[in-house]
Amino acid sequence: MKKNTYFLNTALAVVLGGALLAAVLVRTFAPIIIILPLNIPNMVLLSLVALLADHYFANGAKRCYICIPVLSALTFGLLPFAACFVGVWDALKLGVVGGVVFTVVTVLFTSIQDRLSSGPDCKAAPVLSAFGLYLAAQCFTGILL
Amino acid sequence: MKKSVFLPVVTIFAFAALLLGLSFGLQGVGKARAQSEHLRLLQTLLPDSKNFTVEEYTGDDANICSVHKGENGYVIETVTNGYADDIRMLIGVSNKGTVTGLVVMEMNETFGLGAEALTNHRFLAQFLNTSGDTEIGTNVDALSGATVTSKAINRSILSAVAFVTGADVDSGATSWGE
Repeated sequence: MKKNTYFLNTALAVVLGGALLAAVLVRTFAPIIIILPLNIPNMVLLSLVALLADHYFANGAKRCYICIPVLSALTFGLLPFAACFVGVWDALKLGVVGGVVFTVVTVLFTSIQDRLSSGPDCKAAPVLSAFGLYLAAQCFTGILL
Repeated sequence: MKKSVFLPVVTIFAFAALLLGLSFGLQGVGKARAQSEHLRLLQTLLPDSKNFTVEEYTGDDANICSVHKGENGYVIETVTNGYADDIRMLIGVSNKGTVTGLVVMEMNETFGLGAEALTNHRFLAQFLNTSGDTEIGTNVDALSGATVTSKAINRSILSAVAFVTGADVDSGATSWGE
């Protein structure tokens, strides 16, 4: 049985935490710069970066599909609130939306990852798959709006 | 619960503590820089004005939020209804009623369409040196595929110029399809 390392959620916390850290510094030292909002396409982008990190550093780890939405909701809700970008109510909304988005993206990416063939092409395939998923998320968000 | 699940939880709370500490610690620095940058922006939008005072806006135009009075004009902050959300702008208008500068401060318009208004200099430059006579489709070209956004920005310009010249302008939301 494959070991469940929860690396994916740790990677998400690091990626989102790093992005928010940069945003706090930009807000402080270059306030005129418009900071990208944490909307659905950007949530998908951050999720895909975490998934790629999980693929290349912890490939084969078993997924816990109860912990993934719970921990990702905590990540997307708590970190922007701690960075003082959103209030309590918006943080709750972000947490719920972020949890759903991350879980969906994880399911999609994992199913693609499971079908990637072995061989020299498989090294770049996750990156290209992630790029395709990001473009799809942008189109989907455009339809929603 | 397995020990390994504590790693992401600890990571999340560690980053939260770091972000909270930094946000509060840098608050003073951030405020000072924001004020300095804001003044620099006002001076760019209204050249030859060094000092600005905030004036209370008591008019009826719902598009105008605040007014900064300079030595040779005004910088007016406007908020208009765009396609997806509000569009916030700063517009410099000289005492003669001529637009001296404009910048989109905040918007959530469609990526690749209305959001182009943030950075499309060619579109925004059409409003420079105008005097409240701009109309999308007549003497101003709209952004491709973003007519509503373009009209919202035009409405901001008209409100700002009307404030200085005293002309009447319909306030309220952007008219669709006109």
